[in-house]
Amino acid sequence: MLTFANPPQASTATAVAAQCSRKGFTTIGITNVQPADVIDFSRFDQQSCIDLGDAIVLCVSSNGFSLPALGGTFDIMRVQGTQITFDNFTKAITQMMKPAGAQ
Amino acid sequence: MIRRTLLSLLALLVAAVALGDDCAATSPRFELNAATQNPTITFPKDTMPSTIVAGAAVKLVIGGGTPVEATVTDVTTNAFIGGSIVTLHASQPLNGPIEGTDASGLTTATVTLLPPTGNAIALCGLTPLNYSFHIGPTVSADSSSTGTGDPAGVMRFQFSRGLLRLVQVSSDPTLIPAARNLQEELSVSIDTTDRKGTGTQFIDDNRLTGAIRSPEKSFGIVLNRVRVGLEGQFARAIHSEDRNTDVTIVVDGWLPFFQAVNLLSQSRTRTLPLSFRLSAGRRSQNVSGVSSNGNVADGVVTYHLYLLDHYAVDLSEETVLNDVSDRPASTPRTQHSYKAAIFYKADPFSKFSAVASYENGHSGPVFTKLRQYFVGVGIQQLFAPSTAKP
Repeated sequence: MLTFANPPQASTATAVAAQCSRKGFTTIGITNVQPADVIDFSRFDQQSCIDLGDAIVLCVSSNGFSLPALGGTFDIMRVQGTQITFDNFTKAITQMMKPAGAQ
Repeated sequence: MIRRTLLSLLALLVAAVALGDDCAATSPRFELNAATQNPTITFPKDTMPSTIVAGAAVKLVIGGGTPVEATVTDVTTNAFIGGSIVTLHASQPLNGPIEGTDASGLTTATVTLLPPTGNAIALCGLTPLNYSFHIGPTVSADSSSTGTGDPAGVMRFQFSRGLLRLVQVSSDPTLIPAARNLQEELSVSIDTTDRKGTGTQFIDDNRLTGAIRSPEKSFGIVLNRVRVGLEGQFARAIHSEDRNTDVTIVVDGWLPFFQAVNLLSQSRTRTLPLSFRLSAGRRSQNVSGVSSNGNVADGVVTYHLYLLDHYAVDLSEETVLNDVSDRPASTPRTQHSYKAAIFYKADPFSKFSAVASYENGHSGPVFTKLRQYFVGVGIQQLFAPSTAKP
């Protein structure tokens, strides 16, 4: 298990959120996402919401942060027909991330 | 009659392998955290009881079983949709009774949260847990349910039991749970009566369904989250000799090379790429004393594209091969069907609403109508004031 002498910095959190969000979308087949791109959740299926959430949570956890499970959130966004830019998506991930062990 | 039966059986088979029904946007979701395996509940805005705070003791009831004690370890404000995401620590592994593996989520078993005070809260489970579920048996005597022609009524028996099992085939912690676990499903469903009623709505629908599905596997930008499955269903009427057996191999996934395109748009909207589902198998049936069997196959591709910053178009094509002997003369061996649906949103971040849909067995009429429609839309856009918000 990885240990950290100092808690990760906020700037690191932003970079990790962007990197892991991009990795999450690549996991479900959406490649080369740009910050201004609008993600249309209304065309997702439920399994893609779960896979996206799991991929982001695993990536964030391997970078010294923790994140609650996100499959439920994305599934609700799917049902609501949410559209969100990738930039705002990563900001929301950053807000919800905590240094590992902070829970 | 035979065609209707075939279509019903096909629909039921598809329904049986579907991942579960949609839950309302206001229903709390239940899942396991992929990294920690902790149970997690996502409460939409204004749905979480005030008694759920960090440190609170709650209970989870899975499939109507014995309540499992749990403690709230974290409450995170949901930056996407409002509301909160609640992480629990359960007193025992929720996924342990059958396999003890670290699979995540559930669909088939019902999950209920018992908060510290107040009423139980039904949760919408997302992905499979290793858990057997059942409904029934129930027995009822209801003359109205069997038609008006049987005033004495008949006894109706309903029984359903299913088993969903996840088998971990990879322990790679970097893989998402869906890529680590093989999934096995088995269900038995009986819905019949003690004697054949005289009403027109006589029920005699009994099924044994089994399926095994591989973990998801991706191959770069060529294939994404591909699953291979073997599905089988045996259906039989108790009060007659009618029966139907289907055995099918199914492959589904996405093709990232075909990303959703944006045409004549200033912004770029992204969603899932082209998806496909292919199935092929063997069908054997006996309906009203007529036996028939043969090969069946089905292929579906679905694609999304965006137009003029305000429109989304969903396109799908399905090809069905039905080589069963004694099929009705009106049912061709190979059928193609096309569907196009158009959706509109007023501004870049509002929800799409359906405005038109075309479906046809031939490509010509569909795309002719679509072209006409979009010429109209294009002209309308030229003269309409922009409603886009910065």
